[in-house]
Amino acid sequence: MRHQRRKALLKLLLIMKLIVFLLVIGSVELHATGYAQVKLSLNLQHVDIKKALLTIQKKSPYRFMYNDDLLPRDARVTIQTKEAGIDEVLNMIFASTSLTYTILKNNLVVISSLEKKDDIQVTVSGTVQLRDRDGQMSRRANITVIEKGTSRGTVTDENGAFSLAVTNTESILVISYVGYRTIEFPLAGKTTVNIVLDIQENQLQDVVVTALGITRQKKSLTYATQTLKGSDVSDTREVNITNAMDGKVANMTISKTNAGPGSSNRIIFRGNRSITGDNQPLVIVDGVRIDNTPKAFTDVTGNIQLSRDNGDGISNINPDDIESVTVLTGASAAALYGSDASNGAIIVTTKKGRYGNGIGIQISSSVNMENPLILPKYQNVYGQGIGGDFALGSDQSWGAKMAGQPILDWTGKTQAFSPQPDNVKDFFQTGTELINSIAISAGNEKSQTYFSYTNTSSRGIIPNNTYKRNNLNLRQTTLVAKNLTLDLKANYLVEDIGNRPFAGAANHALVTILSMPRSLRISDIRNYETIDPTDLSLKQNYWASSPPNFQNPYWSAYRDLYDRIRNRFIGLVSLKYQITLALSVQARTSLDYYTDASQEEDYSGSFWLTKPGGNYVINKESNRQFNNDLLISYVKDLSSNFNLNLNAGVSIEQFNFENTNTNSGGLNIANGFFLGNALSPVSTNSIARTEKQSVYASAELGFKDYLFLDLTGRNDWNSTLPVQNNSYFFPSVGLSGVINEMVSLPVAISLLKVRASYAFVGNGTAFNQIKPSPTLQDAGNGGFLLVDRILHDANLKPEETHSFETGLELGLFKNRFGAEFTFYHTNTINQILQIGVPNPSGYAFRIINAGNIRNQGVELLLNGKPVDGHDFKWTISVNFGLNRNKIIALDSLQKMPPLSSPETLGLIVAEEGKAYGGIYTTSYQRNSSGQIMVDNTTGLPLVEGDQTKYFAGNYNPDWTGGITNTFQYKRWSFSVLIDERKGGIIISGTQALLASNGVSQITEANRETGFVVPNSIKEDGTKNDIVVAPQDYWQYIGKTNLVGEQFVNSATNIRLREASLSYSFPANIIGKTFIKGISLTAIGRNLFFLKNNANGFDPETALGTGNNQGLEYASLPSTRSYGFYLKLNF
Amino acid sequence: MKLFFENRLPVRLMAAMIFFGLLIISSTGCTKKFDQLNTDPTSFSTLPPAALPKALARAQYEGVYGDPGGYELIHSLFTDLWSQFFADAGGSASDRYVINQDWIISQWNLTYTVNWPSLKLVIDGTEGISPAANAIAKIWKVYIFHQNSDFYGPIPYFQAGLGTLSIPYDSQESVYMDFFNTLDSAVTVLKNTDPAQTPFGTDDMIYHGDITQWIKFANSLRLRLALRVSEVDPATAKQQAETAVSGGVMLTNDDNAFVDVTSNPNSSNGLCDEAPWQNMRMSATMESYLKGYNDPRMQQYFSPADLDGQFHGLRNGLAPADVTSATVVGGPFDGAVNLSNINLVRWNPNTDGVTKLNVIYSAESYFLRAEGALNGWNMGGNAIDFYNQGITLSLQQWGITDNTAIQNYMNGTTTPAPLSDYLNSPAVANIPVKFATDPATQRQQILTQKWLALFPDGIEAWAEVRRTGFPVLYPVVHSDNPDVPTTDIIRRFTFVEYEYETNGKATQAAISLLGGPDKASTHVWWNK
Repeated sequence: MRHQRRKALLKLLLIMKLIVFLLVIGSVELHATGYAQVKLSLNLQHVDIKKALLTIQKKSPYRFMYNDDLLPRDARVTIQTKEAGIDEVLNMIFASTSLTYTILKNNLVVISSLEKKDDIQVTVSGTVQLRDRDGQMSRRANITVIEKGTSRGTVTDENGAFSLAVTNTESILVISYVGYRTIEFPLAGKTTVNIVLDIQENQLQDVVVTALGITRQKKSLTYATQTLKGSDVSDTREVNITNAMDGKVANMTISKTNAGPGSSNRIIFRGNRSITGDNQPLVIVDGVRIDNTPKAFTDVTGNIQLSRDNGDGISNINPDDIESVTVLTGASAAALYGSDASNGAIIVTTKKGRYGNGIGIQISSSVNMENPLILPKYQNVYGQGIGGDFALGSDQSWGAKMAGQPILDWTGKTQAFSPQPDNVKDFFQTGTELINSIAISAGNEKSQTYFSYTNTSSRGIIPNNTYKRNNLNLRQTTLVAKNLTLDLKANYLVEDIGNRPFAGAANHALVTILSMPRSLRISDIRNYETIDPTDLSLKQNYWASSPPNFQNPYWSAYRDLYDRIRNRFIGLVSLKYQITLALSVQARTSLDYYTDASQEEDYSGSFWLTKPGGNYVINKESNRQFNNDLLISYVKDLSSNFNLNLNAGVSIEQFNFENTNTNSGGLNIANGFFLGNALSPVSTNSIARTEKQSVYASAELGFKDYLFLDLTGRNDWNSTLPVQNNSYFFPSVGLSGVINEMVSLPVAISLLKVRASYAFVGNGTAFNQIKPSPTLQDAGNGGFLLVDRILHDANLKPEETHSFETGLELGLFKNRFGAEFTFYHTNTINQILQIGVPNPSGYAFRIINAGNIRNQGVELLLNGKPVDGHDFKWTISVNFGLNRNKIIALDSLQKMPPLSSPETLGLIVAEEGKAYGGIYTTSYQRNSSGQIMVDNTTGLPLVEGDQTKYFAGNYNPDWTGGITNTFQYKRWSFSVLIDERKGGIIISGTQALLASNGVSQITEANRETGFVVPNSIKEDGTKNDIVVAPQDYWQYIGKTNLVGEQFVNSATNIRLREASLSYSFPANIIGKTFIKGISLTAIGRNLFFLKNNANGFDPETALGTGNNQGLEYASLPSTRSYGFYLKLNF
Repeated sequence: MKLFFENRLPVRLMAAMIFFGLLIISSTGCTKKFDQLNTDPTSFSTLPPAALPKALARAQYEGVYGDPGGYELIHSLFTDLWSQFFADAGGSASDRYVINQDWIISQWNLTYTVNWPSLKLVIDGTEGISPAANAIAKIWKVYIFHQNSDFYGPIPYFQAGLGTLSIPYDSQESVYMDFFNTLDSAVTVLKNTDPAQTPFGTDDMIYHGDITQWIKFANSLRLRLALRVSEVDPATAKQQAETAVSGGVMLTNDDNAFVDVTSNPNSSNGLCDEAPWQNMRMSATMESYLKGYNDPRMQQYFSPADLDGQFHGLRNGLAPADVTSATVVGGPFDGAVNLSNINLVRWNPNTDGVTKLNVIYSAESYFLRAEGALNGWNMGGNAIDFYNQGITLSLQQWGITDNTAIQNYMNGTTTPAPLSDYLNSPAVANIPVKFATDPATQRQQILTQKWLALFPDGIEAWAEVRRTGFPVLYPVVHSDNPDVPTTDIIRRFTFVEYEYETNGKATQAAISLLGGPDKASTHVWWNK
């Protein structure tokens, strides 16, 4: 009790510390008062006026506003002053010109032609409001208001109010503010005006949504970010937005399960930090975390052959609702999000209602088709059978030459024994995807509404695989009282996945379809079942005699059914009160709640069932992410030179997971799929719940709008850690400077920014990792007690990631060409790992704090407009990322603690001194000169079965990069994205299976003659002259003595990731209808490989989204998709 | 600063919002609940005493590798091939004496992270509370560890399961001596227990807590262990065997020990579940003996081949190419339709709730006593009677109850048959069933009949083949293990690689306890 009180006290102290921190920063205001008494000392010899003005700009807080054409080109001035006032200097400069000037309160000097003072006839007054991306209004001081064509101007006060004497009521006002779209406002007879400035949407790159939803100018950021527009992720018509991001973000590596529409992706920024934990980034939508728990998680300790992809959280976001996606690849950027931010964050901002131009309606409709991108290469000479002869009931293709000879085959018919070159391809159907959506946006000054409904209906490339999704989204932003804004969001979706295919398991379609004999007709295979006349039971038709290892793929598709329905609600209530112009407070509650209900119906006759009657499994789970936070913001221009942005907040994040699973354990009456018919039902449940409480603060101090200092601090209390260690504090600091605004640089350089930041992020662990949890299993005569096989550490400490990054941003020729370079370095230490221990300890695993994993690398972004004409525009953007990982230290006891029991294909290890993601596998035994040693009598290779002897490579790429070229000609736009992933390996179990079955092209050679194993020598050292039969050889190394080394593939590939052609119809075609715009886009994704070093499959394939990567077995082919997208605006 | 106070509405609103925010946060935000929150409600945070019998049940079930996965990875893929009950028609390298580390780790893992921790929980939890329950758990401890020690020789034993991360190995001799002591004290405890007590009740999946049965079981196990050490420590062997027999060993088929898995389909008989799988086929050795002896158990142990309805075995140690040659009789490789599977009527997925898992049969005790009698020990009878009783019990156990058939078998003079397999294998041995007159042949006959009676317990059969060299087996056709020639049999499992990786020092030190290199050809202590 006393201990707990002390903790509460500590928490209070910390809050007080943060408040003091805020006050200290606030006091800077006192020192940073204005420049009223600026004195200039100049020595300018015969310079043009522009140069003179630039010099003054550099030496003083004054900025100039003028039309270039106004300045007399030939005029030269010579000015020598000492401690002169600004007026004095300017009078000297303009003495010989017809120019005059006005100095505004914000130190803006407006230069214009001389005009007569007595032109002034009226005084206009009004207010200017700033509208940010969210539609929220604010008022600021120092917004410039100028009468067009004159030097008459003023700035707004803190309430956004201004008053200006103008020539007459027909004058035009020019209102401008940094980061907002400058507008020209005709007075049109009015003398009182209310003006709204919108944030500059088309310069999205310049404004970035950062941690906690704080919008900031990009130039002030001290770390790397990348932002994609909503259209970048929605126009590609991908169901999962992360597919659409592929190839567009530097150092983002995506691996895909390819399990049909809406399937999961594994997303990694800047390499793997965690050995046994999740390496994926946080997903933040509208400022709050949503649940992205991987539902296809195969950890290195898992079993690669059993992974059903149940979809991830991020794939549920409706791409059409997205305003922008900001990627914070580094820990620095995400430090304020606290624990889990070490892997970076994906920040999604969704659309809000707008006002102006009445009700906005957008209707869009798209259709996409998809086909397998790549399939293995097959031989088409030898058919079903073994030993060179046809064999009825064989699942191999080591049979006779297919010459059309009549053969009584498995169907009971005599048919020609002929090649069926497309029997694999023909199994796959054309996948289709229809997406229809409507979005309505409306509002007035006080209230804006956005509503959308999207219907997605797809079928996969595997028969009977369907996907349906309905997304409803309502967003309401209301000014409920003066300065009080209420933001409501309700998002509901239903997602129904029918029979999502399952990679890598013998009881699912892929294994059989890929490996079936070359002489089988797909039309025969389609008859996948019969009714047994003797007992009226359902029997599977399968070509291999009993007992089979595999089954008819159509049976798998239609008789082993799996349906999963997700209902998800995401709600957000946010109340923001602008207390003063500078100070606001925001309270926010969000809920992400979803249930997944699945049922599996396996018909009796599925070969792998061990209980009679078929099997029925229902699984229900719920996930709840509940967040509450309170954020106080203080934004203030302390003086004309200093501005301050302070945020402080507290938050609570709660996560709950519950699962109930019931397995019927066979069925009394065959194929009656309901629990009442269960033979021996077993139910289990599991629960996980975590909570994190936090206090945090950040301060951004800007000087002269070109030097920025960032400080953040956060303390988390994490329920997953032992009580004595569950509180941890982590800070970050960053600095950025816009050099071109500090010193004079050649005119060509329009931006030169340098930045550096350091962050330290702590993290907890998963639920229930610190104490033993024995449980009971329904077995025996009333249960088996399952002892906990994990040795827990009741004294676990938080993980720590230390991250440093520095970068350079460059803009040339008025930012027509830009470059952004980042170098980063992170160390993750005290990692919470589950590692293997000697079993005689009584335990299989131990949870420890250990290790030091380093990731360092670079990121490079380039963009340019080589052609920027009126009709024709060409833009290029390039991204490049490179990451180098090294395990500097691991457990003190072991250099290479095993992470899993070895898989047949390969063993993924964490090895001290090497990069994480190394794979060891079985290999040929070789002599010292590298020749393969073969058995003295059989002539077959000797296999090194110990997987720790042969290092096959690492699954991570060396680097990744992408280039997007966009060409616009009048109303046409054509865009192409090519990306490359260089390096990394993947071991293909499919290749081993296909070789062993004699179906792959590689098995065709020397069928009838046999061959001597190339580059080999007998075990006794003599020359190898033993001829082996291809069947013996390939069955031996592909199955019975699997040689993983033989099936290692380079994962290097270059592909045409995306190509799109769009046309927006001109107004004269649309005519004076109510339609405001029509655009039509043809889009293709994942179109073809320009280079693919992997043989017969897509190397970006993953069996799941866990760390068990680089291994592939009967995975689903990735798909090429193409289609049309029609957008109508009303 | 003036703004803050000039209007009272904002102040109130702000105060209300902060208050509301803090209210939400403080009502849910209290870290003192974290400990409770981080506790899994679907498991036991403190273990009730009633959970102990459930731990024994699991140790019994997994102790005989009852789970299909566990059964395959020790029985089917190793010991049942090396005892030559079966041969592998799938071409697995383990039939050629290769020790696949991915497979053997499963046995090691089950023993040390499941069975022993479960038993230790029971032993610690019953100490001083229920001496009988404590004694039964200790008897079972001997059962699981004697198999484990027989696999490797030295094993971690005295320091196992304590949570320390470097666990020394103990010599097989010291471990065996502890087995004898443990069984001795356990039997003493049970003999002093009221036989009406039924410790563990039905959670004891073998005898439902029947103390009398457990005494017989313990003595039979003790007799088995005594003969195991009979060559390296004859004095101990004699003394332990005579004590065991005088204390009462298993006598009738009613005493047979089975793990009864019939009550819950979720703990099934692993052998049943994997019987229809590819690999396990009748061995040529089995075929030669069973056919030569006209053994009525052939139809009980095996199914006729799909192809011709006859019984056909497969030689052990075939290379994959040989397997193809041996199994291609117009049928596909995978089906091995020309070979006899295990008896699919008794062992199939639908009988996994009917067919119990065998632990020890009473017949074995008679063969052990027969061998003891040959050694000149006081086994309470003579060798020929024990031999014939052993045969009788075994035949009866498999449903051959006709006395004439039993007598005919017992007096059979036919010898093992030569085979018409693709290698034209000659007869595996030349002894008949009828008990010979010379002790050397008698010993071979006793061990051959014990081997036949042990079916399908390949673990015990392999141990006895190693110790005695009987029955005579066909040499494996091919050995892929460079340390074990085809002329020898595999003598032990090498220490698991994982131990070298995780418990390296202790494993290195164990090599000196082994008394030879850590190879599959090195004999364990009792096999000297």
